[in-house]
Amino acid sequence: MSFFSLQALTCDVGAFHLHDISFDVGEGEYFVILGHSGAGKTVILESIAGLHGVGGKLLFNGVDITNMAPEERSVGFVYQDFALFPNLSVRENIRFAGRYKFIEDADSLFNDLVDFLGLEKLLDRRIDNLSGGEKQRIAIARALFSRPKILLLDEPLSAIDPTFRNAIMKFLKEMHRRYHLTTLHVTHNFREASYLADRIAIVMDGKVQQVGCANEVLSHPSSLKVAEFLGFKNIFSSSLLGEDSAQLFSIDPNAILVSKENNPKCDYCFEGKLDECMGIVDHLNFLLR
Amino acid sequence: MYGNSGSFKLFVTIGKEQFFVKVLKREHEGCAINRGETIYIGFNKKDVCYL
Repeated sequence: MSFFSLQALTCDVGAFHLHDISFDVGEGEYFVILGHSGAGKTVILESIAGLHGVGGKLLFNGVDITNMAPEERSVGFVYQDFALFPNLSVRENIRFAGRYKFIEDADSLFNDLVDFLGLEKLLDRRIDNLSGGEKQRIAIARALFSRPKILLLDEPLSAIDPTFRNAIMKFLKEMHRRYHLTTLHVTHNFREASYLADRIAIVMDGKVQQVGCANEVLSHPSSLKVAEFLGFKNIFSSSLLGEDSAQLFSIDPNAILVSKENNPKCDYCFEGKLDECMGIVDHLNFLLR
Repeated sequence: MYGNSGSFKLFVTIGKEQFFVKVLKREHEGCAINRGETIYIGFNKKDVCYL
């Protein structure tokens, strides 16, 4: 029995339709839902949180929570725009869950979150003029203060200055370990997914296209559609390799050797014409003394 | 500080297909092959990903 399970979940939001979404999430797993904007990722999170009426089943430890009220689901939700309460102070935002449920060891949890997230100096401030990074840490603290069984993160890095993204990714991983979380993280960014995810579900057009271990999904797409989404290059028919098959293959641009002479050391060699050579500056080196 | 491309990006036509190839710049001092010239590309079975 899995810790958390979506079974043939369907949901209609306006003209958008989720089709039979099914996957399992193990306890303590960092699970990433990867897909383009408009693929249905946020609707899946909102369905798990109980914000939409759904078909199919949602199970926590085998218990059907499909029709349970949002506040009874023990889910922590960090929205893309953080959705903090503007009329409350930082302290009141973080402790909000204490207004509607009993929080075990609330004071020690609060102090630990404030310490871990570096929020001590912000506690009596209002939300209005905080930076994106500060708002994000407060939104995470608010979600964790409710002691959720599962933490839902909706594009947590999209509103963050790109300069800080690597540091925030590292922080998310540390947080996941420190609080023994089960995390569902939605993103369109492959780098985030490959660094953070234990397992990945690729969602396109309201459907799950592939689910599996992060390395397996990112390096072995199950279809042309997923391969194109993941940015695979050099997708050709296997007949190019002399194989009698309609199957397609892809070869990583970094795995191709080039030579002015025929290279006998490779399994497959081709003669061609150079169309273009681009030496584009794509990063800067700093020499420090 | 200096601008640096991590790799050369080559577009190589083989019959009707065009391959995209990345060559580490640190392994090649300049792109020694000119546009339109014959070039050989190769790869191994272990690197082929079937879809």
